Amino acid sequence: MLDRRQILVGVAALMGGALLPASVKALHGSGSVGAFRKATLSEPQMKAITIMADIIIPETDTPGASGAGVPAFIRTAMANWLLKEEAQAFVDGLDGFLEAHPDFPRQDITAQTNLIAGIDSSLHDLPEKYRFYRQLKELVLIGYYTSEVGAAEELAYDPVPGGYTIIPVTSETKAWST
Amino acid sequence: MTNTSDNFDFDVLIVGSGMSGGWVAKEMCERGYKTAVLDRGAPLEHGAGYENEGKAPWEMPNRGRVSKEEIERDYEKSSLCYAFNEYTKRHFIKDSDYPFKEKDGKRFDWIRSARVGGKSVLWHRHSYRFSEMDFQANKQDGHGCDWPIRYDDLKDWYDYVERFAGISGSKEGLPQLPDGVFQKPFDMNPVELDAKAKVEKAYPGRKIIIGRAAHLTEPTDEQLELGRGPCQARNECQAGCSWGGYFSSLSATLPAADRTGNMTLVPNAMVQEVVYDAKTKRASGVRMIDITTGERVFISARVVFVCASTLATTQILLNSKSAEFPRGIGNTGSALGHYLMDHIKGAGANAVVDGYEDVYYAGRRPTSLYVPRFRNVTEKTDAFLRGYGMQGEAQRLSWRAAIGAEGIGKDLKARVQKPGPWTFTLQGFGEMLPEHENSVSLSTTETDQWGMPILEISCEYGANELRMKEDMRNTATEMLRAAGYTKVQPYSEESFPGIVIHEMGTARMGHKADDSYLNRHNQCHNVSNLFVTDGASMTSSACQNPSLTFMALSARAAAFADEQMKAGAL
Repeated sequence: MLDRRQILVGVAALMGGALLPASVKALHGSGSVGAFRKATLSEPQMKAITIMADIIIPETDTPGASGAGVPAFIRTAMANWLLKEEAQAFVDGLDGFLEAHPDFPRQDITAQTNLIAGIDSSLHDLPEKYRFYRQLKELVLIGYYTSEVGAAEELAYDPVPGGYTIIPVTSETKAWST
Repeated sequence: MTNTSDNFDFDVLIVGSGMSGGWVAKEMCERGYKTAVLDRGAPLEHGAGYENEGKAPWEMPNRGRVSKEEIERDYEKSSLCYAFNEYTKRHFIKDSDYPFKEKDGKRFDWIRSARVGGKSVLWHRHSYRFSEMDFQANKQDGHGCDWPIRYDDLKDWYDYVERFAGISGSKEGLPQLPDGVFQKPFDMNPVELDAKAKVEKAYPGRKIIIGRAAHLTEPTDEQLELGRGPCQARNECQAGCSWGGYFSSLSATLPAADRTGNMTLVPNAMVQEVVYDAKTKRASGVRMIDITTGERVFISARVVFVCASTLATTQILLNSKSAEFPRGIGNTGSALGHYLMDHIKGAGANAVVDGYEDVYYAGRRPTSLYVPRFRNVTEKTDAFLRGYGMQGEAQRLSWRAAIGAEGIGKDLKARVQKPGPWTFTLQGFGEMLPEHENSVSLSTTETDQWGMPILEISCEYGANELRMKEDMRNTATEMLRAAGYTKVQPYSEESFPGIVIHEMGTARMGHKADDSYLNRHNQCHNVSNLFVTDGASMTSSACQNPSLTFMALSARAAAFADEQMKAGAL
């Protein structure tokens, strides 16, 4: 892929570059994001998340959830998005699921998919024990469609459209990711 | 006039470098005055300073989102802004750094900038003129004092600022929304064009037009010379735009000021007080603190413009106490700190649009539709005074719609890969009447970390605004039905003043000092070399996005100050 920053710098130079003077060019803050807190997910929990994520977004002609780094994203989101209580509720829900379905990680893909499909079909009215699934699905979808695979391969991504135009939809047309 | 008067550090001193201060800086520097621009914000260099510009979601450590914990700790109010995210966070204030108090249990969602350039970097860029009707409204219905100017006083200044700023839009010939100097408008999509035709047929007094927005679509030589270029339709403006595709102080007015060699821009400069000199009966300068070093400095100037943003401006003026003016510099009347306004939003309707599966768009249009005010213009109502405009758009649902929906696996992927169904949204933005009780004052007990008394805000929507909000929901619904949509969802959600980020009033213009703070030139009635040209000066709010009017008032007041200085009156 092209490097967007280079495109920007290149075009800015063509346009005559940034013109602000030294008086404006003082220091600016680093704006750095704080260090990630330690993840709170165990190996068995991560394994279950990976299985479920790949059932929600499987590999097709493009990579699926794990191929797009979604499990690692969920680990990050747990630490960096959610409040502690929300993250804890999610982990507790996941643990509850694994207690109720101890064989899940070792089942064949058909059995696993059937179980998740059943839970997903009642997304709007999930019983208490499956409530964590709503959070999981949200994180899987966001993780996937904001990844490079999901946003720029599975969907269409254009960092610098250049204008707003109306286009026809063809069999090749993909939805924009941003 | 290239030499500063001997007795002063600067000819002109401007507090604030945002929408208004940037314009004053340009106008005064171009007229040859040595000008200081002080801004509380941290530096932000146009271009190189936009750290997150153009980054893809996967290049952001947090995929664009700010952690809830950080929001709770530092960004309680800033995070309420639609434009607040991981990309833009560094341009918003940490509320925890600058506390304020919401008095009388009345919530006020105060959104503030943390950078040089102020909210001109963060704005929504809709640019509309006020009309003759708006300047007459207070006098006609008796709410608020009479504006001391009329549309004709500002008309040429609107032309002037539009030509420089670059406004895309369409000429419509509507008296309530005067046409201006426009660059090519953005296109409406086929769904929007179809809705426009049907709604305008069903309601001849209502128009759906493309939003007039401060984006370059046909940059002029003057704009190109300043290093600006055409809008790229990224719609990621608030992270910063190296192209200068949208107007901001950083892309336009400050570079214009700086190339004269007359501007001294000082970031991290928190002005706490305008100093009054009883002998000359004028402002002698300002006291500021460098918030990075704690150093306190007095800077003198012949003329002082306070353009620190509506409420910060009034906070500084109230804090400028002297024996002659114990209630704040120039303050002998009932206006300073009162008649705070915002707009009201939070009601409208959404629809799912059947059909149009074969059309889509490329590019992220940085503006939306606009419905110019029709209430009490073409369609009278007894339910409330004045009126509202609407913003809206038609677009196709994205992958985000899958989050709350059932479906997994290959089917889900295939469905999300195709553009989703079309949707149409309309939301009202209503005028807020100026009321004396909607006010701000200085705390007598609490200061911020730099010793400035914090602001206490007491402001709420009144019955007129709430009835208007109800009407917004109803008319948006009937318009979407008139467009032929069967799946229309009306909505009205609780909202609080501040959140439209159009704070206005608290140092309003008027005819006399007892009920206004500024005269028809944005000049303090009682202190002739003190000007206020930001939102604080507004006498009524109209329902249009007000930034363009701040720009026109600023340029006009600067020209007046120049005349007065040349005539030796200032």
